[in-house]
Amino acid sequence: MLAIRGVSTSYGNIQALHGVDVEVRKGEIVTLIGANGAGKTTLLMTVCGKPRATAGRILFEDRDISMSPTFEIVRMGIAQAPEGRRIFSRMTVLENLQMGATVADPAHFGEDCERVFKLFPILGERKAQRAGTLSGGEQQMLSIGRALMSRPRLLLLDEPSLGLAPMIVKQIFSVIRDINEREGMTVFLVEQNAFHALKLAHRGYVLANGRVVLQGTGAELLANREVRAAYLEGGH
Amino acid sequence: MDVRALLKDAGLAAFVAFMLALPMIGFQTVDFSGGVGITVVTRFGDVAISVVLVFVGRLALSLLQYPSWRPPLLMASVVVVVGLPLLKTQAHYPVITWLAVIASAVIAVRSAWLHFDVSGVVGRDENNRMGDAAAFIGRWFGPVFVLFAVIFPFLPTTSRYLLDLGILVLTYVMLGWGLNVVVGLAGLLDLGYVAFYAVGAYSYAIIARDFGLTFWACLPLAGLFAAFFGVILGFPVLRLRGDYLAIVTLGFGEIIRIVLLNWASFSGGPNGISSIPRPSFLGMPFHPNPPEGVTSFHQFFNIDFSAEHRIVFLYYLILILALVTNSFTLRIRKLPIGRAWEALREDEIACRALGINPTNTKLTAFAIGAMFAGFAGAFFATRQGFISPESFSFIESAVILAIVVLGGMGSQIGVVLAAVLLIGVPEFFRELAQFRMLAFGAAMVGIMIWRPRGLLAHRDPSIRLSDAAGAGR
Repeated sequence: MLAIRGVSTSYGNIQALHGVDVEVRKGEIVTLIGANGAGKTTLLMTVCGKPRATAGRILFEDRDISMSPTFEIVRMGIAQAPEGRRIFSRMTVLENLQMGATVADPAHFGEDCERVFKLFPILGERKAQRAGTLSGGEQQMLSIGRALMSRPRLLLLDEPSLGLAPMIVKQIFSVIRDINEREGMTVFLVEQNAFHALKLAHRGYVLANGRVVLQGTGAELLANREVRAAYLEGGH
Repeated sequence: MDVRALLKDAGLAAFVAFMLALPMIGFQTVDFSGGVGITVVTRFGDVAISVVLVFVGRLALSLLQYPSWRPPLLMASVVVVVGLPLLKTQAHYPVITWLAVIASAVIAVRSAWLHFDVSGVVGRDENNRMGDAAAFIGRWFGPVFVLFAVIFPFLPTTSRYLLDLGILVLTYVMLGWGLNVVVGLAGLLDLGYVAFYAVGAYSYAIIARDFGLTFWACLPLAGLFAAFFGVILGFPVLRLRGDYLAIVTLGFGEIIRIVLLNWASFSGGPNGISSIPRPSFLGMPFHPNPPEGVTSFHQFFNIDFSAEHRIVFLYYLILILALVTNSFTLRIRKLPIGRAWEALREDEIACRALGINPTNTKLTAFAIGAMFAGFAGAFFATRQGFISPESFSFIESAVILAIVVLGGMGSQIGVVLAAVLLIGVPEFFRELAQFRMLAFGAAMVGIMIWRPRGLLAHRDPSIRLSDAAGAGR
């Protein structure tokens, strides 16, 4: 569904990605783990067209999207819950969801709202509240819910566990599993929280210094000694 | 209570006041009676009075931080009771007396507030309270304001002067509402808004002069031209943001003005364009002796001719234009494009990630804001009958922007309050003569201290579900 072929990305003189290959198949949860500064977020942003890939190709459903503007990529069926949530804090929860439905058919709006409120009941309770008054976890839920409103075929999640309590992380990850299993949503998940991410994902990639250094199924990577040493020791 | 620190603080304030008052109040240059040269008159008495007043006032303000409310109230009353007669005889400037009275009143009110506020904490949860107040004002006072504006020309107290002032205020209300689309909703800091106002005014003037079209035919054209210029300006600059956008729009505003100033064959240069046609009421001019075959307004309605008819008509014209602007903005906020503007103001990256084309969205905001400025410009031209580049200087942009910011970004009713305050109130300060702008500036500073996010910084959600009331508040 999403094929990243030999993609390199630079910020000015600094090359952040060196020929990265990643494949996300339909119905999969694929995770990308790595340390700070490995280039995880950069890869996700490159898929969305900002920054642009300096080399390589990005194919979404066999169409090259590496030169398309961000808003068109989104209209093709890729939705993103960006790093740091980036909800519209002065708008209400419901308005945030409306913004998420920008590219969707307005006829579905009520139905899609119900779906998000079923996944995250707390958002339903708070739909008239200003989004800035939500807790961190609720904001993350809103960010994911907002992304779902466009009925994407591919969901990109950038560190949904960032700065959240373990309980909330568990809840969010179980929702991700839910939408994957029940609705067959394809998910590409970028995470620092390697343990949870690998447990959830069908397959995973390990990124270090802008290169894919390891790949395999979630279980394989979890069992891998190097992965354990680098990303899992001391935690959880 | 640390008395020494309080006194020191008040002493410092008094010292600053002294340094400021000495050159500003202490010396005045006066013409010789013969008219040759000037002489300096000193007024150290006034300086001393100001310094004492600042000392007492600062002390009273500091005392307000303590739960005891009696000392500040006492000091305020002493200033009024003892100070006023003294001031009346000693001070040369009425403004000093004025300031003393106002400051005493503020301190008295605040100390009384302390007394009634049981917990003694002032300002707790202020935002919420003000938000509710703003929502309340918006819901109930909006229609009352409109009603008042409609009957205003027929009130017995309304003179020709007040009616003219009303037209002026409404023009700025309309401009404020127009700019509110750009600055308040879309969050694009536009310092050259007056350029579109000028485009509207000049397009009406030139089309009416050269092609003889009537006001009503020119009005949409003026809006269209202004919107077109909005798009032209928009294209190159919309990748900029914040300060950089402000600088470029500032430059654009100046370019338009300077082109109008220098392209004499087109715009009349510094002489401007005069004898711009006046608007007519459904084709009936406001004229005492209309040409053959044309019925004028007073003949049709069989009333005596009065010059005021046209003023009243202009008043209603701008009122309708302003209300159209307002209802348009209120409607569009509920549409996807309006929501996209607001979202863009908050987070452009998130907007991109949701499939919004930021360039088009910003361009529409620019074009629509410019269009309303164009309408207002056409109105301005027809009201004045004469336009020149003088009327479209940067200070106009600054005033309009101040109205939007002061009103609370994006708040429609706030714009009205701010326009009344910024345009109307200086007229009433005329009594203060040369201190008019000082009082005006002090009022601005005061508002920015007490209401830093604008008079009515409250955002009404653009969508309400029937059951949202139970869930939200």
